[in-house]
Amino acid sequence: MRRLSRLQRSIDPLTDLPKRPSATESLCFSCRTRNQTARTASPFTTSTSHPARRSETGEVPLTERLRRKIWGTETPPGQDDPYSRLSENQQLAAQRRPRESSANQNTTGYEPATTWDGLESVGGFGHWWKENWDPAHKFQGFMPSERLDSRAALASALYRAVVEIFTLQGAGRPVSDVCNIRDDGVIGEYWRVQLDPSADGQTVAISYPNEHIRDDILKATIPSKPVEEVVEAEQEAESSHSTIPAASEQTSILEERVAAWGTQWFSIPLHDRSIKFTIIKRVMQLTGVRIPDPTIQHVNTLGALLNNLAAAPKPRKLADALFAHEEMASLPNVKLSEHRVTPIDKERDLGRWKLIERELRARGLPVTGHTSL
Amino acid sequence: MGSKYLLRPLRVLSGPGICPRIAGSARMQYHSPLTSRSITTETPSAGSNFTDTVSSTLFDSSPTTPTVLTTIYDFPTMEPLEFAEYPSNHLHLPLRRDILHKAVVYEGDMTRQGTASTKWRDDVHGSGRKLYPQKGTGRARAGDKKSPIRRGGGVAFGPKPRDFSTELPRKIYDLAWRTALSYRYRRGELLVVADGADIEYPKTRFVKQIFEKNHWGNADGRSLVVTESFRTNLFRALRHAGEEGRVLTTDQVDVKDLLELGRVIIERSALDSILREHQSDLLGGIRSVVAQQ
Repeated sequence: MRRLSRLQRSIDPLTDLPKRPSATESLCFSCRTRNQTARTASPFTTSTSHPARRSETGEVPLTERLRRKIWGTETPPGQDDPYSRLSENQQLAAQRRPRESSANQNTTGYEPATTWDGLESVGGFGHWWKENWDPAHKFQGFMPSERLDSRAALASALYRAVVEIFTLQGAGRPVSDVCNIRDDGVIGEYWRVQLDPSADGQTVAISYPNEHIRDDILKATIPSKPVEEVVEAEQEAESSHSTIPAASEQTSILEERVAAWGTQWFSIPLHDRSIKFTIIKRVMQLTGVRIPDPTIQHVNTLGALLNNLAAAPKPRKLADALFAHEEMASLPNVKLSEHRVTPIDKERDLGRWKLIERELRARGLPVTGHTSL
Repeated sequence: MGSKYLLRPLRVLSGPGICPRIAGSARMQYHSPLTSRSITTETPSAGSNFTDTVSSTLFDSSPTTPTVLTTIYDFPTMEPLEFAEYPSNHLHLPLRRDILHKAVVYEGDMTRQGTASTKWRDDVHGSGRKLYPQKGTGRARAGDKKSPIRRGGGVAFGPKPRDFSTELPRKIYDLAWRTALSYRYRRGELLVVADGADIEYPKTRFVKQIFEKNHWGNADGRSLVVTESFRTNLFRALRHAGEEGRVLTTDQVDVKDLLELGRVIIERSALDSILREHQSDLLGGIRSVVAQQ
């Protein structure tokens, strides 16, 4: 494509004519020729002259002086600068722009941000899913995801499950209803109920301090609640949660209760399969601990079930297992470490590592590892 | 290979159908603890609402074989639904590492693609012309340019496509299947879920939530889910959550898969069909090559 050539105006060579050197300078030949070639090579610059700079210095351009002489007046008619390289529209726009920007600054007080902190993020779908989809599609499992781990809490949960189930059984209701109890605060003071197994383990005497406790349990196990009641119950539960003491106090309370129950109830047998199933299901629901099938298979009493529930989990690291091993920890000629004993550890034990590290750094050598890696 | 397992004269089972159908009412041999309350009259033990049906009559085993108990869970919520019983020689076999090793090697051999291929000098394209005379050049004697010692020549003793699969007696392989399931069961890592296991939405973020809440995910050693057939939502969701676990149908799963991840969550019908397919050493009429439990 042919390039459109810009027509040269006859006035153009005059506009940006550089000043001639005022005096002959004492320069060497090569410097002088270089200066001259530089001048002849680019006598005119393509950049527009800066009117603002001229107005600052008070200098009147040559074209303006010519206009004034032609018209014979200090204020010649026509455009302000008819020889400008900008078109008329561009000149008008340039005049208008500062006015608008100043108007904006005055009214809004806009300040551009220098960091992105606090700025609204626009675009992308990641946030949308996290903020909209996830809350509307929460997975609700049967068991709570947090597991109880203290023996007192597990024993309380087991005792509670047994009390609830025997209460339902005594009232002739299906024991599977026990899992309808969803709120912790509803069933009342189950810990005041006494379980006394007979000597042969075939019967269990269950004694309530008053009728209310039994009625509360039975009321809480009614399976289908209308929605409004559920909401109310949740509110009640929340209000009761607010009165629950701190965790440490709660643990001590639970320990006191467990001690008060004694160990008689541990011998209650789990021969009845439906009772066993319901107790295990309810315990899982209360504690969040899944009881594996082999354990269910061989557990025959409540005490054995509790021991399995409260058994310490298998350590995941060898070091944990060794630390838990008392005999190993007490041996005088065996030292246990949580991680591999490296040469650095040995130097650190001797107190030499600081010096070595400082010298390595001073020489620009790697402190750990290898340069080649 | 088989001689190692001919340990003792083996019990010959007395034909198919010897396992009585395991029905709940027939096995309710325990008496419930009679509950008495001090403020009300003594109540009878609760009627059993416990339904226990091992759904297959195909689990052929001796009537005297004790059974082990499994809990059937609802799939995503993991609510215990009921107890079921399986014969001990299905889910309570002792661990036999040697048999598991044989099965895994057998499967690995069978899975090898065996398509590596190179060209011997006859297969290489080119002339059989002698490069230069046998004598008189001062150089070592040479045949054609396809010789294996020359660049561009054929490959001596290179691989050719072949079948790597090895053989394993069917009864050992079947025993390995049940040993793998028993290993999981004994460690409490076999979770049997009710049929029709699927999730509500085909979303990876949803299945990740489920795995995290149930302690099945990456932090807990990942999990294998085995279903009887393809389940659209579950498979689509877990396809992009390989770091949390895998899902396979019954015909895709093998012994190595059962042993690999942290736990196996298996549909009841899938477990039944696996056990049904892998009981050749238990069926009567054919002498077993391995010791019975």
